[in-house]
Amino acid sequence: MNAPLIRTTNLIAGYGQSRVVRDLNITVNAGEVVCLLGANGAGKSTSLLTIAGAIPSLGGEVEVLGKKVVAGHAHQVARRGLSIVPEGRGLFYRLTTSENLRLRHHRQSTVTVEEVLELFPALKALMGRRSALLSGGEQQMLALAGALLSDPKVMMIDEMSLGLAPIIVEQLLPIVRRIADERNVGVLLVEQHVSAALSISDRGYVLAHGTVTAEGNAEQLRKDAKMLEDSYLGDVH
Amino acid sequence: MSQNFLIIVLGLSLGSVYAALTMGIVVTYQGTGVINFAAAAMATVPLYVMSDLEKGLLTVPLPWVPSIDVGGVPPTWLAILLALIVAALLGALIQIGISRPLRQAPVLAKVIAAVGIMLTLQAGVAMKYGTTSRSMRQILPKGQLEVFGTNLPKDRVWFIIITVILGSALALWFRFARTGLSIQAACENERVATFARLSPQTLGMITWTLSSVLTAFLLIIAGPATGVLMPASLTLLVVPALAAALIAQLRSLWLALFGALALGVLQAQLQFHSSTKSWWPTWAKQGLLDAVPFIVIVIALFIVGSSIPMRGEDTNSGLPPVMLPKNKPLTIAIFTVIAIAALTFTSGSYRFGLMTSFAAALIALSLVILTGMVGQISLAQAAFGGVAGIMLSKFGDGIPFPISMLLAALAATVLGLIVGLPALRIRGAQLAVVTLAAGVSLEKFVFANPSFVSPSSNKIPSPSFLGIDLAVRDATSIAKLPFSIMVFLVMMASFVLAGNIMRSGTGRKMLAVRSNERAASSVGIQVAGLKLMTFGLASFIAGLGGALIGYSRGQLSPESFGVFVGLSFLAITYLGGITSLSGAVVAGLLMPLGLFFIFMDRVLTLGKYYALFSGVSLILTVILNPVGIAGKTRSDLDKRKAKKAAKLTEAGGDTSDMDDEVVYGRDASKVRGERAPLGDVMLKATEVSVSYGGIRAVNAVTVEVRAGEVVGLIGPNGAGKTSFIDAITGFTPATGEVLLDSRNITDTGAHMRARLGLVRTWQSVELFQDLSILHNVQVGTDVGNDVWKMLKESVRPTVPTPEAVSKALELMRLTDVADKKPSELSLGRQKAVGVARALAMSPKVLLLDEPAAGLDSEESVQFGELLKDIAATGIACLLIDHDMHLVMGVCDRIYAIEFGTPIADGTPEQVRLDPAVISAYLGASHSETSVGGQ
Repeated sequence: MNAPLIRTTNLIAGYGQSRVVRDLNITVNAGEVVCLLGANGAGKSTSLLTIAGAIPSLGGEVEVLGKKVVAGHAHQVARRGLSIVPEGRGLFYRLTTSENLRLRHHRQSTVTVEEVLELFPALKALMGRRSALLSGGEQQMLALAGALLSDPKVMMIDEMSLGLAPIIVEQLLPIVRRIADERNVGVLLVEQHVSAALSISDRGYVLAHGTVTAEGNAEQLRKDAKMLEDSYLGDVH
Repeated sequence: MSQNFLIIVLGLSLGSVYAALTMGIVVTYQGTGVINFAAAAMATVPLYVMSDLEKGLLTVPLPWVPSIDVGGVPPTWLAILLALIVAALLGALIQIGISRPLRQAPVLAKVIAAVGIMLTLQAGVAMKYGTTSRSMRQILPKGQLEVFGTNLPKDRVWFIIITVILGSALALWFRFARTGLSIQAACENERVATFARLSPQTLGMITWTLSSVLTAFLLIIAGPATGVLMPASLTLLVVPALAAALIAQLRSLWLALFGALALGVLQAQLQFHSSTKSWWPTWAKQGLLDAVPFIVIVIALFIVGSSIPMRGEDTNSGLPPVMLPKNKPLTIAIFTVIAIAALTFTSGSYRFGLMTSFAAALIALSLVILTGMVGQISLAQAAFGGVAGIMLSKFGDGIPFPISMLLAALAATVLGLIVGLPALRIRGAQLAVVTLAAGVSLEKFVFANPSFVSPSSNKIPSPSFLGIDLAVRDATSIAKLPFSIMVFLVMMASFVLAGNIMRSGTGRKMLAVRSNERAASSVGIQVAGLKLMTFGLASFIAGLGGALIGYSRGQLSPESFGVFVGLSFLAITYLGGITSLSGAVVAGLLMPLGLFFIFMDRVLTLGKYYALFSGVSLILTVILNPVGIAGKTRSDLDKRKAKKAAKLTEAGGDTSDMDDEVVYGRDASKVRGERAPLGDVMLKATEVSVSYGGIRAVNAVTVEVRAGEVVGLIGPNGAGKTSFIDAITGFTPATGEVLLDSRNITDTGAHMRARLGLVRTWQSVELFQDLSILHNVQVGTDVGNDVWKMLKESVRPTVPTPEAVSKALELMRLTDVADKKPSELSLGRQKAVGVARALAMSPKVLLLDEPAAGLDSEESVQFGELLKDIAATGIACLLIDHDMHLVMGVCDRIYAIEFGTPIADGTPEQVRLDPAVISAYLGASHSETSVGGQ
């Protein structure tokens, strides 16, 4: 029972020849929020897609909920209990809010649409609207709501703050924390916005140029502001 | 009035037949991404099962399985049930055997596979059930129905009602049922669908079986409304159905239903007026209905198609690499000697087969150029050949031999250009639909139209040249030697000239377009013009082939150039190898009535299996061996050579570039020259804004870059940096003003801006995988699609490497790998190739969009040194990159934007310490604690 929900062992991820991430070793346990930090191009999204089984790994191993991930069988990984909010929010933009939610909900799910809408009350008035026409913040809420509806044991969220105003991010992040606390879900959170992400995380990894340059509990990482700034913005020569 | 009402009802009934197919096509496309050219061919199978059941026979549509006598005619409901089970199994079989293995395959492969299914089923059904026409079983009640004083056929009215009800039910199911929604979702974004626990295989299975059963059911109850039961004519019902499917944008089932109905009504009206109105011209009667779908398709595509593919769209043709011809004189000489010897020492039907193979190889060559080199699919190449044949018979004795042949081929060229016009707006699968419709309308409206082609006398006069009689046959021989040699020489000359074009600058541009249209456009290639030119060239060559086939028959036989022949041509060329000249030769040997065909027919007595053979082998080729026979042979030979070479150098060190320790061939720490003083303002973009559907991606951004300066543009992901570059290079509509070296280029097109000196690189490494490093760099320099230039290149293909190209290679330290393909280089050097390509266009301003993405820290440092070198030559550089070490290290000045809006600019130090920048990257609270803590 104490086995991590996600475990990567010396994972190499990338496309074709391009090895974007090298020797990635991360774990995510039930009930904890783990953030994967790093400037754009550090390989965060590629790692998530590899863990989800959407793209083949170039080396190393991925285990999700105790089983090895085989590329090309992302739907099986999802059925095992992994829910991902990918880059671009992963909505079906031609479908309405309620249709998106309906597709995410399934028979075994112990979560109801009503329960999820309690977390995101703003969506209640938008059920009939095509999700392409929602605002960025509303889309992000819908993406989180959809992921939650599938009753996951572990979630991965990619760049939730992308293109969103800071005030909206500040509303959404505590909900992620609540999901982890109340439902004992493990969360892997990929973020550019360091301080916001660290504020709700238990642990974190910092990626730069495809390798982990720092890891530790959130408090430690937060204190090392200079290191974080440098890893994002470079040090001035 | 009452008569018109009847015509409308008959039109609706025809439209319902189309709707049955169209809705199946739309559902299949949504579920699998396959445009099902075989929709109608698939439906013929259950229809024949029904038909045989009426005779008390259960005929399983499998080879070698005999019909079972079921002892009497089964009741109608049971017959329908059995037929639908067959339809479901057929759908399932296609999903498992073909659609599933090709799920990740590019559009082109899916189209080819669907055409293969169509050919296979058409030929297979013809063999299993015969080609004699049968009448369809009447299922719905016969009789008359009086509506508003008009007597209407009862069965048609019922059929229309059932179609509309079933179609609406399907559309509602699609809109509201969970499975229907899932199919739509998977069509929109398959990856996200898998994240939502949906299995693409399951959805594929549902769509193939559902669409197969639905179409079969409606056509069964339509009975005589579908027409008579005949494999070929039923299979071609797919053309109007595809037209309606394109109107529906392969998406909306409502539009599919009502578009198909409208198309039927339109055809019925035309049919009625053309046969009853005295003013209707005679020439526009025969085959008119078959021309309607083509026109509808062209109009529909012009409305919905778009010219440049947008970001994120898959542009990969998925074609195997092209084997560029070297045209070595020795090879040509050996081949010529063998061919002439073969012609001399054969006689009778074998010589005829060989000669036909040479003529048909030209049609294969036209496909190698059009599909293999440029990635455009044409199913109408046989029809272009046919047009040349018609022209020859029209010329009669009036025009002497070589001129008549060339003029005939030119006529085919004109037609090819017309059919190629839609290719300017559309690509891939849609183009296949257009050319199929064009082929059908040419066959029915032109070839079979007595006003154009008289059915009795289409004699093509025997050619003669300089007093030599080049008649194909006399009393003793069906293929005389002089004629056969003439055919070979025309073919050989065409192959040599076309081969020269393929390895010339024009050929490089063709391959660049095939590799990546967007990137091709960015290096100054006029994609539309090049495609059109290729269409012209390919149809000219097909016309030559058609003319030679015409001469060899002595008179025009339209059936030599029918639609299914055209499909076979594509199939056989694919089988031979669609990306090489040798593939075209192999294809020629395999072509209908070619040498292999004669062999199959004479020795193996298997000639009747030929059509089936071509269909099945096409499917197998797409799935198992996309390089074709010629490509497979070549790669096997290469492997053997490589093995030998490996054995020889086993003792020596590793020569592969991949593991080179020094990435740039020169030590990066070497001392550089002094930076030149900054020059004039080269790029001035003022208040540039971009909006996508109401969202402002770029909001009044102003950027200025001087000659010799490296300026950075930074911002968090999604800040609008790439949109800004898209805007100033003309790839996306924008407001604001762009000055290049004081010249206003705000309203100039994308490729023209590149030519004027505003050159960009691309975020992903958009190299042309089919070209060597040298040619990747060179392709940007020979701009302009000049027909005259292409003709010159057909004789003199090679030119010395331009100085700008060798300089660019040198500056980026790539000279030593100039002959390699991009995939053989490390990522860092691939990035350098992208920059070198831009440099070879002698830019005034260089826009670098994430040139260092994916590089590790060491590579990134070396890359920065290269950028400094570039600026030192006086080029103005604008750099976008997320690698802040790189940006801070090389830039003179930096602009920072967030949410599309400028937030800071200045020197690297100023920007690095700007609180707005830190907050943009690290979050608001971070900048407070960080600044406060210092």
